[in-house]
Amino acid sequence: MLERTGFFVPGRFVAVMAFFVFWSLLVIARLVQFQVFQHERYAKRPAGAYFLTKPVYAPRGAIYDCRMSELATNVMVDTVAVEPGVIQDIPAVSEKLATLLEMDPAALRNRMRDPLHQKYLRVKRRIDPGVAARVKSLGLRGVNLEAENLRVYPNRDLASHTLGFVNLAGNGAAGLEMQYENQLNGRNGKVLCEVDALGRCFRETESIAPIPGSSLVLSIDGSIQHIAQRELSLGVERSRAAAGVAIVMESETGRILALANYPDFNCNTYGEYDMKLWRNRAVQDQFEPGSTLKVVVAAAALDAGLTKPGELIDCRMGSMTVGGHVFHDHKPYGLLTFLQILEHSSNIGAIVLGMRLGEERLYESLRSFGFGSRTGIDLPAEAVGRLREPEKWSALSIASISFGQEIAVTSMQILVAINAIANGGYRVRPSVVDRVIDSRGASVRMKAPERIRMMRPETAAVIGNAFEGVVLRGTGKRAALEGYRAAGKTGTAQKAERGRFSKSRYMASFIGFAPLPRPHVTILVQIDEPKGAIYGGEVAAPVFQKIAQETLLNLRIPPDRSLLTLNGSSALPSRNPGPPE
Amino acid sequence: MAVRRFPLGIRDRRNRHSSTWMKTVLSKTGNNRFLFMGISILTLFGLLMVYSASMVVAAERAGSPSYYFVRQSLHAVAGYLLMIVLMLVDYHKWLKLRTILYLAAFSLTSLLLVFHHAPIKGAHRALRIDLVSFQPSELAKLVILFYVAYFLQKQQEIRKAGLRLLPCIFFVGLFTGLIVLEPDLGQALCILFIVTLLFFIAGLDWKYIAIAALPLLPLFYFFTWKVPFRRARILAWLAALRDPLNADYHTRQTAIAVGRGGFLGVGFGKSRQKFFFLPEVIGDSIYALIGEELGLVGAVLVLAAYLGYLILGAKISIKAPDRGGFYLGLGITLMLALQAFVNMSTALAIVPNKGLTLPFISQGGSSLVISLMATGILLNISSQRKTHPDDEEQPPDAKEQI
Repeated sequence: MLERTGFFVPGRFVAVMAFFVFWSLLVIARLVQFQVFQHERYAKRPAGAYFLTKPVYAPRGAIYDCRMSELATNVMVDTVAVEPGVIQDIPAVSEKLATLLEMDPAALRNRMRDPLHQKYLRVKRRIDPGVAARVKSLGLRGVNLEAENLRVYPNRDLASHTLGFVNLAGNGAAGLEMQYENQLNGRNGKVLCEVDALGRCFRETESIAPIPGSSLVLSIDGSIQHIAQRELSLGVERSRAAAGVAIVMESETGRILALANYPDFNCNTYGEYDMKLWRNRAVQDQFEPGSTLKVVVAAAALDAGLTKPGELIDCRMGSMTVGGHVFHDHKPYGLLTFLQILEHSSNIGAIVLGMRLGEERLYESLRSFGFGSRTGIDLPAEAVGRLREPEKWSALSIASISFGQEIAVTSMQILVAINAIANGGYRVRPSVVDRVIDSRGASVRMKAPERIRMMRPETAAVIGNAFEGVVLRGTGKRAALEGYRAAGKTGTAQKAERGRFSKSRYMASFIGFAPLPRPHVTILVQIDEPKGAIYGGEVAAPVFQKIAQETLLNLRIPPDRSLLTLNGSSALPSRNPGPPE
Repeated sequence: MAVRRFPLGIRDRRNRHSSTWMKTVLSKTGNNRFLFMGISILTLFGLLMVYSASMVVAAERAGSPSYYFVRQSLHAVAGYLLMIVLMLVDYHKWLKLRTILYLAAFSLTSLLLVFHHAPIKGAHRALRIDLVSFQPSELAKLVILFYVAYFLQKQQEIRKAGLRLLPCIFFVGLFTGLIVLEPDLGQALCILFIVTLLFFIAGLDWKYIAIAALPLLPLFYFFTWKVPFRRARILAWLAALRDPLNADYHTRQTAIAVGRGGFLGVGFGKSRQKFFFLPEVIGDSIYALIGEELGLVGAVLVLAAYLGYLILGAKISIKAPDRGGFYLGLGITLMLALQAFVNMSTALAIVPNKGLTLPFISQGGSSLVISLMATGILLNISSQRKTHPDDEEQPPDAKEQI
C-alpha cells in the first residue's frame, strides 16, 4: 500500500485529502442539520432577546381652575438608577453618588452590593434638575438617569384638599386625583425596540402612541379659593381654634367656587404632613349640627303649612319635657313668633315645630333636605352622616333631632340644605369639576347639576328674610357686607365628647348667602374649637364677611348703589336695629 | 520553462504600453489564474463580511462603523501586494534563508513574552507597533514550514530517518513550545498537526509518529485538562455536540446565528446576532455570521472555496519542481485548509473552541497578510511547475535564482 513513488507516499497523500473531504461532508451535514432541519427552532428561540417592549409614558391630565389657570400639572424629572453589575469600583461610585445625592455612603454601598439588585437598582427618585446635571457630568458607567414624571401643584397648598395628590406609583391617592383617576390617567403607549445583547435599543420597529390623560376644569376659582383660604386661616388663628372649614358655593347650581380646610398642606410634599391633615373635613367629617338644623326643621314645618311666619309659639319659658326628659333653652323665652324662634335660635321652639311635623314627616323632610345621604359631590370618601330611621328613634329622639342633636351631618350637607333657602327652594348637587377635556381637546361637560325642589319658594323667601334679619339685627351682624345685602345664620354647637356634650369645645359656624334678593353665592364658615369667643356670630361671621365681600367683588357682581356711601365707609342702613343676642 | 519567458527588466517590444512588471505578474498567475482569481474574490468577500460583521462593534468601540473595515482593507492591500511580490520571488530563497527567518521569528515571538503588552483577551499574541499589530505566531507557521520543507527536501530516505529527525523535532518543538507559552495552544497544535501530516505523507514509519505522539499525551493532558478555561471549553464542546442550545454562551450564540440563517440566510448586513450576541463576531465567529446572513448556500460556498483551495494547492504541490516545493506547497495548503476547517467546525460546535481565525475572511491583519503571503509562495511554486509530468525531479541546486 505504501508504494513510494517519487518523493511521497501517494496512498497517504490521498488519505489526507480524503480526510479533508470527509471533514467537508461533516461540516455540510452539520450545516444542513442547523439550517434546514432545526432552522425553526433556532429562528424562534431568541425572539425575546432581540425585542423589547418599552412603555411610552402618557402624561397625566392637568387640572385647571375655572379661569384655566393650572392647579396641577406634570414635569419630567430624573431618577438615578444604577446597574451595579457593570460598575467596577462600587465603593468609589457609591461614595460619589452618595455625596451628590446626600445619602449615606455605607448604606448605598451595601445596597449596590446586594446580589439581588445587580442588574437594576433605583438609587434616588425624582432628584432636582441641578443635581441630575451633576450626576450626568460624572459620566459614570452603569449609573443612569431615567426620565420620570412628577406631578406638580404650582400653587402648593391652594385647594390642596380638593386636588389631593398622586402617590409614587403615579396614581391618584386623594381628592380629585383619586376621584377622576380614570380620566386623568392616560393610556401608556408602547414601543417595540430591537435591542442588542446588552438590552440597548438601537431601532424602534413599531409603536403605539400614548393617549394622554384628560384634563379637568374645575368650578373652583383660584382667586376665591385663595381668599377663602387666607380668611379662614386668619379666622382660625385669631380664635386659636383647632381647625376650620370654608366653602363658597354658587347658589343656583351647586358649583363649588372654593373649598378651604385649615390647617392645610402642600400637595407637592404631602408626605411631610400628618396624614390627618390630608382629610377633607368639609365632606369627610360628620358632626352634630346643633342650632343650624333648627332652620331646617322650621322650614319644613312652614313648608308643610303647620305654622305661619307670624304665629306665636309658646316656648314654655325655656323648659319642656319630652319622653321623660327635660329640655332647656339657653335663655327662657315665652311667646315667640316663628321668625323670632329662628332669630333667637330657641330649642323649645324648634322642638314644638318638630313635634308638629311628627316623627315620620320630620324624618322625610330631613331626608329630602339631603341629610342621611351623600350630597353626591365629586370628591372621594364623602361621609353619609347619620340619620336613623324613625323606627329606631327613642321617645326623646324627635326633640333632640329638632334642635340638631342625635343627628350627624357633614358641612357640605348643611351647606346644601341652607342653600335651598338662597336659591328659592332647590336642593342642588354640589360639584367641583365643570368639564373634562380629553386629549383631542373635546370637552365633555359634567352631568348637569340636578336641582330638586324641596320647599316652596315662599317658604324659602320667609326663611331668607329671617336670615337677613340675623345679619341686620341678630347674632350675625358682623357678617354684614358693604354694598350688598347678605343673609345668614350663626351656629354655636357643643361638640359631642364621649357621649356627652362638651362644656368647653364648640363648633362655631356661619352659613350665609349674598347678595339679596337673588343670592349668587352661599358660603359656609366653620371654626372648630375656638378659644375665648366661641359664638358663631363672633368667630365665624367675620370670616364670612371677608370672604363674601371679596368673592362678590371678584365675581364682578355690582354692588347695590343705594347701600354705598360716598366715602366708602360702611354705611349699612340700620333698618330696625335689633338688640344683640 | 514558461516562467522564464519574461524575466524582470526585459521589455516586451511588441506592446510598449503594457509594463513588463505587469506581464511578469500575469505570466506567473497564468499558470494558476484560477487560484489567483479565487483568492482575490475570497479576500474581497472577506472584506464585505468584515464590514457587515464589524459595523455594530466598530460603531460602539471606535465610533465609526467602518473602522475595522478600513483597517482590514489596508491590510488586504498590503497583503495583496506582498502576495504578488512573493509570487515573483523564487520560493527556494525562503528555504535557503530558513535559519535567519527562524531566528527572526523566534526572537519576535520571545519579545512578546518579555514585553507584556496589554493582553488581548488574556493572551500576549500581538506585538503592537502603533497602528499595526502583528502576531509573530502567524509568521511562525510559515517559518516552520520553510524549515520542515527544507528538511524533507534534504532527506531522501525519510522512512527510517531515525536520529536524523532529532534536529527537526527540536526546532519545531522549541517554537511550538514558545507559542504554547503565549498562550496560543490552538496555533501550536495546528502547527504540530501539519508537521506530522507532512512527515506522514513523506512516508515516515508509523512507529516514529507513535513514539513522537506518546510524550505529547501527558503534555496535552497537562495543557488542556489541567487549565481551567480549556477544560471548560472541552466540557462545553461535549455538551454542544449534543445540543448547542444547552451549551455555553459562545457556542449557543454561534449555533443560533447559523441556525436562524436557514437556507438562504437573513440577507447581507441583516444579522441580528452581530449586535453583541455573537462573541468575536468579526474574528473567530465570522463563519457563524456568514451562516446567518447568507444561509446554507453562502456557508457551503465558503466551505467549497476552502476545499477548492485545498485541491488546487495539492495539485500545485504535486506538480512542484522539487521535494522542497512539494512540501512547502502542501504545508501551506494544509495549514490554511486546516485552520479554515477548524474555524468552520467551531462555529458549528463540531470541535471545541480553538481561537483559530478563518483565513482570508476573519478580521485580523496578521492572519490576512500571512494567508495572502503564503498564497503568494504557493503561486510561485505553481509558476515553476513541471511542464511534463514525466519530467522527474531535478536537483534543487540546479535551479536558477531570481
